[in-house]
Amino acid sequence: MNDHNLALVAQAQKGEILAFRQLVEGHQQKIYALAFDLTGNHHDAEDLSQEAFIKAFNGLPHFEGTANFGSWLYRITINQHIDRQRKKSDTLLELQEDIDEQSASNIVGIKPNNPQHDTEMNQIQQHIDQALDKLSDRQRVVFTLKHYHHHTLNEIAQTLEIATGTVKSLLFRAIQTLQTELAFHRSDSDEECAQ
Amino acid sequence: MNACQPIRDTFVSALYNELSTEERDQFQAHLAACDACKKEYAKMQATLATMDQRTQPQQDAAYWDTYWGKLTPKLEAQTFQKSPQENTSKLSNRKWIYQLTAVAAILLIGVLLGYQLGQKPSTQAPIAQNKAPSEIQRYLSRSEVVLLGLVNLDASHFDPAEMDLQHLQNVSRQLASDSDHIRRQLTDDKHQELQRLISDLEIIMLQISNLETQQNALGIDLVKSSVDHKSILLRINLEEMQRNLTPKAPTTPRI
Repeated sequence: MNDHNLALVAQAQKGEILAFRQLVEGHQQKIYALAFDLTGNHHDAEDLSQEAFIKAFNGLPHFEGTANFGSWLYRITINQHIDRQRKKSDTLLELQEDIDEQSASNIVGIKPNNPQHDTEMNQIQQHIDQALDKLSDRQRVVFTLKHYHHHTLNEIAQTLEIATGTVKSLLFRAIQTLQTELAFHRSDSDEECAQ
Repeated sequence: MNACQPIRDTFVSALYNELSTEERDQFQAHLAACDACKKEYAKMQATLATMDQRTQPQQDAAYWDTYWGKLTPKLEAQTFQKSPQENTSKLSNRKWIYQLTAVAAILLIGVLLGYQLGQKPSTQAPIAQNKAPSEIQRYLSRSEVVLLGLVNLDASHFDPAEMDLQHLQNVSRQLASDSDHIRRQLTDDKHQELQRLISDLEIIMLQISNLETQQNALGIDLVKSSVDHKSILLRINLEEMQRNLTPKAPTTPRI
């Protein structure tokens, strides 16, 4: 952990809220991005990321400075996500889809310029999101950390406190599941690339 | 197929370039000789290429500016739920410090206003045509003190429910009431700018006197915005400077 983060953690552990604020502001985008990849929607991503910071705040007295603060936050976020998934019901999922549509307006990058292109891109995104939803929680966590957050297999194993072989198995099955789900879409996208 | 299993076990490592050089050589040699593994590997590569098309949504800067603000009440709720022995956070302490500072600021404003009111009227009558120029001067000075006290408050550090603005509102109410009387004294056309200033001050003083207890923070921000938008403080300063530069009429001691 770099010296600056080390100093901030030490101050935050003494109760300096401004130091904790700097830690939050230094990690909020990464933790939010992880939360979004895990949950698939803005509303849950915001909730999950903030819950992770609250857990980190409460757990500061027990955090040992030798560990990496960012990795620790990642682990908290993932565990919190797994806990939330256990409690979540299908009804809540439908409501969150509605909320997610309403909150999409503050997300940059989704602005219609080329309607046809955007429709196709939105379809691709939909297929991808639907495929990700088919993964089990652990598969999704492993795939997200590997493919979108570029952790090594060993790092993922350490974060999740599982064997590297288990990570590989989970990742292999995740990719096969995605492959099955995307089978229809993949033939369309190959034609697009050829044009 | 048994020869394929060890290679398939390394598919994931190969897909993400985590094979050693030796492992990579063995892997590629097997794919060159095994169509089934080659096809399977290609399918997985294509799947990952599709997943690469997923866009990561980016929140704009305005969202991140509010992120901590959304987190703070949740953190404070956590802090207040802890027992006094467990609560080592300075969140509560800082909150009391800010409130204490607010009370001190309001008391200071009260002292300054009292000082202003207790001051003997100036024996200088700068403008012969105005009946009570010192009254206008006092009105502007008192308004300036009220507004300076308000614009320097940081509403985000206060608990609106506990902020006591009653004294400030009483003074504002008085100033709003005085505005009309003072405006009537300014009959000369060359005092149009001063008339406009006093009209604007009257509106702002009414805004302050009407601040609701539950929405002080928002109300204060609105007042600050009005003061800023209409350049009130600058106009008061310019008016005072102009008065100081105007030739003074012979003084008559005011009883």
